[in-house]
Amino acid sequence: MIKLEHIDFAYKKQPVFRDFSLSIEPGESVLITGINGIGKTTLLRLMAGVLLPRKGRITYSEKLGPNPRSRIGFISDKMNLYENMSLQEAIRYHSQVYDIPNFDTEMIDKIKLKAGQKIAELSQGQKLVFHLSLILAARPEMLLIDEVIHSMDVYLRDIFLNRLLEMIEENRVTLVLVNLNFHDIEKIPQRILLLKDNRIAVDEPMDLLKAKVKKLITDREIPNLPVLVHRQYEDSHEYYVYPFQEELVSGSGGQVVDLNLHDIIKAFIGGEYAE
Amino acid sequence: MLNKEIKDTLKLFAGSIVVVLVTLGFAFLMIRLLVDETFPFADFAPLLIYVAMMGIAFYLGISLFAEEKNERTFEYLFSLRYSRWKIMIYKLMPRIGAVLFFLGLYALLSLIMNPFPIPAGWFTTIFLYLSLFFSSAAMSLIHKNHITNIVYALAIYMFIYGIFVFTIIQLKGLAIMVGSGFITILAANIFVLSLLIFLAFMLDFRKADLSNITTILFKKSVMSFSKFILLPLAALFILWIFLNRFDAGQNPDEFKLGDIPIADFNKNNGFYRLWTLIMPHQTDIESPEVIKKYQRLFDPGFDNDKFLNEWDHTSYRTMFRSYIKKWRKILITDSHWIDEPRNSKKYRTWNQQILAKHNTIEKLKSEFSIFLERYQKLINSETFSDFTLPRYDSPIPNLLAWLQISKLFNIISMQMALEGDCENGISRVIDHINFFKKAIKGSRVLITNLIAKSNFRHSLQVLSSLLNHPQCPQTTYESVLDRLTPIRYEEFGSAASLKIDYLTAVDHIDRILNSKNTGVLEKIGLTLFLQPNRTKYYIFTPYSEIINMEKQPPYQWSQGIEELKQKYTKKKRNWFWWVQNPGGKIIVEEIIVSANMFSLMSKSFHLKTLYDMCRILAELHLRFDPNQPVERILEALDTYKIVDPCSGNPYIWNSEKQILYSLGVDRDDDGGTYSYNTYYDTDYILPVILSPRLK
Repeated sequence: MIKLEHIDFAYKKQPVFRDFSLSIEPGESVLITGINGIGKTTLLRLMAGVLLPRKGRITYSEKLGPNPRSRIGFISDKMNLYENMSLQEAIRYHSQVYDIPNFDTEMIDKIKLKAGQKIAELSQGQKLVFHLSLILAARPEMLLIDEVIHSMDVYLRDIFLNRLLEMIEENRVTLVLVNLNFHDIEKIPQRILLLKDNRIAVDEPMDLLKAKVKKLITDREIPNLPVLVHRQYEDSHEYYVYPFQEELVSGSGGQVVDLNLHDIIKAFIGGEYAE
Repeated sequence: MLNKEIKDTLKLFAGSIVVVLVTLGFAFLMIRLLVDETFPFADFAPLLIYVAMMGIAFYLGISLFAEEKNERTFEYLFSLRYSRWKIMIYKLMPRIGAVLFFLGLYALLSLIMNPFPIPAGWFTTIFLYLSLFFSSAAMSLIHKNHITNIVYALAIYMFIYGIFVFTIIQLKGLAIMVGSGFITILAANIFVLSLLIFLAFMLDFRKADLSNITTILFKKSVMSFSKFILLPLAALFILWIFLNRFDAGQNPDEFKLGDIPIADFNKNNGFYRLWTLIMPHQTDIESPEVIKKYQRLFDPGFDNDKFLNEWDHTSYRTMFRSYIKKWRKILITDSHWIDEPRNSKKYRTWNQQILAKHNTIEKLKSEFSIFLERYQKLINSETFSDFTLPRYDSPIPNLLAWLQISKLFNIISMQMALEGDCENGISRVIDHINFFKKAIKGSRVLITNLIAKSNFRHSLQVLSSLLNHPQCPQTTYESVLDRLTPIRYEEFGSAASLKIDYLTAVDHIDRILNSKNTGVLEKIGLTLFLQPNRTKYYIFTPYSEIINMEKQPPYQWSQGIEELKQKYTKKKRNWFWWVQNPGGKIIVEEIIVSANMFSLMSKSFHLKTLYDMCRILAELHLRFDPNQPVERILEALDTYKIVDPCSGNPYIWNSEKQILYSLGVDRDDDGGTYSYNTYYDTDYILPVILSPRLK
């Protein structure tokens, strides 16, 4: 769907990516994560064409047609719409840009927004749902979503995520998510990318990653274990093992615990801070 | 997107009109209330509208990305499907439409409010207006709010206008020479520069992203502009200067002061009398003080610079002014000698007209007696040597006065001849003619030479009119043949004057280059872009060509007069005229009045042929035999052996029209048709009245 090859990017003289490459296949749901400031948003912006690489190239699948950017939807909590526009005006504007003949207002109706309301009058969560409805109306092949969920209340979050799941299931939309709150989106990503030191440190399918990262609780210290994080308590040790292999822990006598996405990412990020 | 941009522009548009109207209204009210009720507001309205229009151009430009900047919507804008290029085009189109609309509105206003004083001329206004739009559009990403906009607006406007005004002030000398076109060129340059800055901005915008959209992009544009536009331009500019360093070598054939007759400052020189002709009645024009006043201007024995600097042009001119009305009467007596066809019922010979104006002429004689007395002394002068210096600030005598007094002198001679004293009347005319031969030979300044020719021509016309008078005694014909010897080139040509004219032009260039009064920028411009030798060649070429042609009879010319006219008529400059020696070319265009160059030769040969034909006329009258055909008489005349210089053949006799004629410098036989409006595409004719045959 999208291929980034040997990308260099820097803000002024502060490098973010050097010789960075990534490929995402059609229909994939990818979660990009990493510590703050590692370049997750920058990566999404590069994919969306909001930022342009200083070196390297970004190519899109032929499926996206002659103007691939018209088939990409990008939404970010940092992105502003024209605040002086009313919702009606914004819908008209967006419809003209993307040649949308009939705009589906189902989501807007659900959150009880009025056509005459100014965008400036909406809450951040409402703005994001409204923006998502604008983007989805253009029937994108690829969605780039940057840390939006934390700005929404439970109700809006539900609407947002349900619509997202529908899109993935019905239209096999390619999804690239940047998020730090993993409880809500556990069911969505199929592939996890962890950015570290301006490169991809982990790139695993979700199932495989869950199989590869396990927590070992034991009462004794085990040397030479590949761990992300090691916590020592008075009478026990906690090892977040990666990559996990049965034979590595078979003689430890400890308990092996499966981890959810939240804990896996926490282990990776926690490990990074511990370093 | 385009719809949104059109809508936004219309809002700006309406807002701008409201602001202009409110400002004008407010200004009107304040001036009326606080300053003066009778303040001529209407006179200032065009200026206010002009300033408002410039403000609008700025505002439309600076608003290009105002909304995105203020509302921070660049990320959203760039996430849309459009390329940067398309975004720019969509944003620009309605604004350019509005800019052009306002320009149209301004044009319409200027037509309605005719006359509408446009402060700097149409093209200058358009260039400055568009410059403001493009330069402010290029800066549209570096501002935040409307107050900053206004500050920027004023800053940019003052900056551009400041450079503009400063340059004009600095280049005032050159600007005067080149005229208002120079200001337009300057404005055009500002426009091109603004357009280039905007172009750099547009090209950089194609690579704009969220990380560089603010000031970085502007800095980048400036860098790109410097790197890709300004640097190559600077390189070309240096190359241009470098190429203009290679001047031509000095012209070995260049005219020198030694080529022309030496100035004679002897007190008997008639040129002093020409200078003093119109001095107040009580002035003793022969006194050494009066003579010295003029001598010190030109005699190298005096500090010419000092006295020329002190010379009071105004008071010399005003001496003549009080006579203008009176001299108009003289013009009335100067009915053209061939105005009416001779078979017309209205036709009266010039002689008859002069006789009818006896009283007017008598009155003029007494009114202008002192001038006529002085003029007689001028004619009787032993020598006539124009001693004017070949420099632009040299004053010249009052030639208009010479022209008029000469005519009055001729008319009095005519009256004298026609009222009984034919011999003395004609003798006076011959004296006059011989004086002009001397004056042309001794003239230096081209205009003095031309006025002498004009007076000479008038005198020949008077002479021919008198020779055709039935009561003209035989002895006068003999006297004409005896005293009017064949004319030589120096007596009707312009070589010396043309050479002096060339030297004056060269002196002018040297003075501009070396003068302390030349502005700094003008001096730099001239030093860098004026090649003295090459410029002198530009001037020398036409002058030497005209001299060579004038020295040859027209029938031997290798090119026709029309061809010459095309050659020296002011041509439109080609696109690359400025590459080599532009300063020299501009100056030469101002110095050489090309159209006069070929008409000068025409006048010389008109004079020469008229003189020849007058001599033939005198001999024809002398040898006239009513029983013989005129053609046969002509063939036997000595004077008829001198050929027409325009054909190389004898002058033509037209028995039907009873005229002698020359083909004229166009070398075409028009059957003796004469047009006195032009001297170059007509035959030159002389009426012949062979009494008593003509009925």
